[in-house]
Amino acid sequence: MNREEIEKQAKTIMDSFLKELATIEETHTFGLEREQSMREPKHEPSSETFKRAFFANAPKVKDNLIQMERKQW
Amino acid sequence: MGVQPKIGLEIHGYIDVPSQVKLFCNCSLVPAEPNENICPICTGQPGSKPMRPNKEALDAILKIALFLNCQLNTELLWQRKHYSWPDLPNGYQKTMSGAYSKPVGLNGNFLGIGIEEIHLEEDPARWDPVSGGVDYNRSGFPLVEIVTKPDFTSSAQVREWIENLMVALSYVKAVRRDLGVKCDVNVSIAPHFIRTEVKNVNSFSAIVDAIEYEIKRQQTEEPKQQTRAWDESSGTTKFMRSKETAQDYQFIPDPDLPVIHVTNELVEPLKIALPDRPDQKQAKFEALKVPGDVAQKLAANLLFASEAEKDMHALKNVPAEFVANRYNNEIRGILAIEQKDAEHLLVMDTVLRQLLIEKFADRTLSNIKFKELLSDLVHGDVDLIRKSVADTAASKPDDEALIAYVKEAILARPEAAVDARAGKEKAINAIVGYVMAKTKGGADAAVIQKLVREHL
Repeated sequence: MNREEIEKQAKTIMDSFLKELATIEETHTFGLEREQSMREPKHEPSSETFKRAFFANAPKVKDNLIQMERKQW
Repeated sequence: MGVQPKIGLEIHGYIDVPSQVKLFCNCSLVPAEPNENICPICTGQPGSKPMRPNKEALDAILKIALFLNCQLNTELLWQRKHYSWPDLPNGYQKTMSGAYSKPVGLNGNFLGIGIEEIHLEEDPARWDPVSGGVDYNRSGFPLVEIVTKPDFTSSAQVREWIENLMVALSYVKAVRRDLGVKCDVNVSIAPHFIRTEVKNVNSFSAIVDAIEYEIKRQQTEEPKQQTRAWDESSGTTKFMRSKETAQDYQFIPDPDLPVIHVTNELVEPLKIALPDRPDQKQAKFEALKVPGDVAQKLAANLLFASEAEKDMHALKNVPAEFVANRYNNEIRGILAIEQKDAEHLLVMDTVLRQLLIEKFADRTLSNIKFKELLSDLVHGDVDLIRKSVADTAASKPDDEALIAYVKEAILARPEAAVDARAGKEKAINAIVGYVMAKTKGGADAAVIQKLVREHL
């Protein structure tokens, strides 16, 4: 197949796709309604696996506190 | 002429969420060992996205905005406020304030002070600058920021206002008063009114001290717009940086969080459930013939006002003004002496409190006895109070007995009687004291004084 035929076929496919796409009703609006933009809070216990990884990855831990820089400026 | 300061506040309070769950994740807010209540979201792990915001926090912030008489925005936008600090795991704070923001409420007022805006944001972690330790338990705690107009003119006015504000907001169950406030204080003085922002002011007494210090400092130093930090240990403010502007924070809308639409269906039920604001309470008291200044003082503290209103309705035979004055004077005084908050009124026995006010109004109880029994009431000694009221009523001298005591006192204190006849108040009080001792405090001092004057 030469380049011209490929382009012709691609155009046919794209035109057909755009035609189908135009039939879909637009439903998207900017922003979401409150029920979708908020959540009902539900308490979940912290994951022990996460905490282990969190402390293991921290450069330094003392008394369960992650050690960051001190105020020295 | 004294210095003319203009003072404004940025108050951060912890929002009361019944579920005790953080703003953008489901970690607990119940106090715990350091870094116990954490997850990838509130510790800012790479790739983590926030959950949608906690509905209870939005309800609370709307209640605050309505209670403070604010205009509400109908579309609320979350923004990222960028700054680099050890307590901020994401490098930005999720907030409804900032350059493109639509705060929850605008242009409100409370007890005569204008409210510029109110918005919701997340708290960073707790960082101890001395040890360098960071605890993420607090990261994501929902916070309300209330920005006032620079309407205050003294530190005393600020303290009284902020105390009343916190009482009112805890009363509407929107703010956790027990967790305190964090405050930034903006102070400027005439004639230039160039504003200095003082950060890290985290107690009522520190607010007063920081304002007083700044007013003095600005009188001696060249005025410059700047941010200073309150240093509790030295009782001074220290230069932090030239005042930052919105550009410094590089605000951008947060693409992880949807716009929140505030609808009437959401607002109306909250509005209906709100208690009276102080101005509404004052109007109610004035309708019950309480003088304006007395009503205003009482209405400023919403807990006092609500309890007094109950008593006014329960005690039909006692003038409302009498009840109001008891709250403004004796009850306020006893709670201060006993170092109790206004909330203590809620644990006091209401029936006994009303009984004491009633018996004081009909002069069964003297002022001294009334205060003594109020103090017992604060301590919860209910049986003691019931017995004491009954004994006092039984032993209350009738008018004849009282006149006899007055005559006896005049004879027993002849020198005082001579001075009293010459119009010396101290001498009259000495005779009154004699009668009070005879009646064991069971008679009213004002009545005795009147009888003494009649029988001298």
